[in-house]
Amino acid sequence: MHHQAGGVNTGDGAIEGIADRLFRLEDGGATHEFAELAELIVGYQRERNPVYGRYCKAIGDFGEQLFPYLPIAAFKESPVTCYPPEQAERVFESSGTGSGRPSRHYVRDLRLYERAIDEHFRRVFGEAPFVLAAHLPHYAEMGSRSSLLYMVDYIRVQMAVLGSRSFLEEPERLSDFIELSEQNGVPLVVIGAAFGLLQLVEHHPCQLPANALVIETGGMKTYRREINRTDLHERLAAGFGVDRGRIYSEYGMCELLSQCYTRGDEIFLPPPWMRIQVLDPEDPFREVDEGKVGVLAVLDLANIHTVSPILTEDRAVRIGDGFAVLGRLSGAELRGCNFLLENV
Amino acid sequence: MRSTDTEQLAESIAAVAVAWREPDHPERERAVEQTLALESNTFTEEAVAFAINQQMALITARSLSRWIQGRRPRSRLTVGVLNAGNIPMVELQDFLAVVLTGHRYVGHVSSRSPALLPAFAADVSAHHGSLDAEFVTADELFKRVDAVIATGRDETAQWVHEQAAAHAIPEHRRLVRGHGFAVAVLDGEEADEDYEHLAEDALLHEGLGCRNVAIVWAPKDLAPDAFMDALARFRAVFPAHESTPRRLKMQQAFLAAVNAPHAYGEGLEFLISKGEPEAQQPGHIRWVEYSDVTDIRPWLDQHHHQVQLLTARPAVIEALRTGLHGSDHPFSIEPLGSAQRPPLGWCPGGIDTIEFLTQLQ
Repeated sequence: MHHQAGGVNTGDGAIEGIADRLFRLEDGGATHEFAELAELIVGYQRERNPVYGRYCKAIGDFGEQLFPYLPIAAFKESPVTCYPPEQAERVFESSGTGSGRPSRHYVRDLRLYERAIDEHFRRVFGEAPFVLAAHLPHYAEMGSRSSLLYMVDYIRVQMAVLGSRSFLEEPERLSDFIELSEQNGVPLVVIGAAFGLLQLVEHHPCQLPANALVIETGGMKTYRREINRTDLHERLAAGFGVDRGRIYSEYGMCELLSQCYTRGDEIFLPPPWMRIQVLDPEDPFREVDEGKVGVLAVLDLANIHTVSPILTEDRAVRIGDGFAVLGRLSGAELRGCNFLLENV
Repeated sequence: MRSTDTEQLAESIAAVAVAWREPDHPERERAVEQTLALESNTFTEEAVAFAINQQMALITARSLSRWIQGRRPRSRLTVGVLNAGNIPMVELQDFLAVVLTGHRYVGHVSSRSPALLPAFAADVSAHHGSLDAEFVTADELFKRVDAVIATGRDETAQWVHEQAAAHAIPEHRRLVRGHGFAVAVLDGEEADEDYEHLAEDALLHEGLGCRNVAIVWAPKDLAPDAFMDALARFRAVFPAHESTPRRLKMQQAFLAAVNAPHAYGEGLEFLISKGEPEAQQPGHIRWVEYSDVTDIRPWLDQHHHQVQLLTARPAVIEALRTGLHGSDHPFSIEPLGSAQRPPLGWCPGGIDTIEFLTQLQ
């Protein structure tokens, strides 16, 4: 399937208007509206983003991909922007745990990021307010370079009651937030990196109220050993004394302005302005069937000023409109030195 | 197993290997046909023939005996082998190691290469009268075995350990190897023939396999033209699998997008790029420049767990050996042209499989 942008006004004014249309899209809404916006935005990126423009020119036929997906490693190599990168309002960086070199996402307009966070968080978790307790070890040292810290802080300021904060330095104080939640009569939301939350429940087990929510934001590899999401959710539910359906996961990365959430299970659902495909790692122009393992590709239309079609390095399976993440693609898989590839 | 039994089995295996050296040996022909008909692998007719011929040429009663060196385990156990099947006949070494040390072999073959080893094993069984070897599913395997051998990434290793623990297979009876790749080191004195050897090291089996050369270290001012010519000549003899150009297309476009220096063969049958010493996807060779050969040592120190093999001209090997003296590197150091021709006694990940099997109790 091939899409051509051609003939649209790709001036900045038109793009501003697009942002409003984008966030008005509804879950399961009109696909033609999404398709029209995608054509417009990706067409603009092809024209204005030199990295993506060169990529599209070189790739030619892109098979079953919705649009040519730019490999995410491009964010490590050069600024991927539709505008002079020095005009970026903020540069988010990955923690660089993979190859050592961090990815850099030059964000032109933080309002876009905030709207993507706001619109989707409210759709998934309901209208505020609530008590927010954040536990994000290792991200703190990244400061303003961390998109995750920015997101959590935005949610705290916009949607949480006074007293919501990070409890990284005093994990034993989680009980304070439980009290705060009861005093205010609003639910408690605990958000944190997976490994940090696991350590927290191991060292400071506590009983959260039944209506509390736990959102883990990934980072399972940094734990003593890698664990799968089923085990992670079970351990967190047991450790926090809540139903497994109260444990959610967030899928986000510094290169994307949008986030996907699970809703009490292990299937990430994207916001209405995002689509995903799962591609064959050995032939990335071919989409694998639903339920088969492949590499995750995302089309995040909120990335208006950078690039929307991105090929991640995550192994995933598509389940309906959502996806389950199974871990990172590794050299072993690509070289085939792994008997489990076909059995996962 | 008594030594005479081992010798008789080695002779049977050697006799079958002689038969398998012939492309029209019916069992080989049938297994190759079945293998090439599969869409799940990227094997080409030429690469399958190369792999079988290379392995069969190694097997003689004498070479098997030299490899085993009369080593025998104290107890006879059932050993399960989870095979990767990423390149043709890659399963053979573990199979031979298990049966020749007198253990019972229970293997799981990959859907990418399910025919070759079972056909060879059936041939040995028919020739020898009987053979304690069978092939089962991965789930079934754990129910049947006392020890296990597997290769894979960290998650796989964890899964194997969990399965083994669930089936009461103790840790000392598990050989779980890591994965990796090979590196080549050039000094600029290479002849055309050396480059042809290197082309085989890097491109055969479409860049798959843990001994495949993924990174080529070269002196700063050395132009890769001679190597590129050798890659093109190699492709004239070993055409790429039809999936290779599609797989490399995305990487070539990526390199073009980020303005990274790169070159590729006609029809994208190979791709080479200059840059950081990072292994790329199979078939994409990374050319890394160095100022002095000793510059490579710190990188090798840091990545020795991923590097399975270092290949170079003998003079370069000598210089590197001096430099690596005293370092505890588990990888092999072999001449150019060795990567796709592992000897019987090759120790993947620096671990001697025969030693593991004979220590089992």
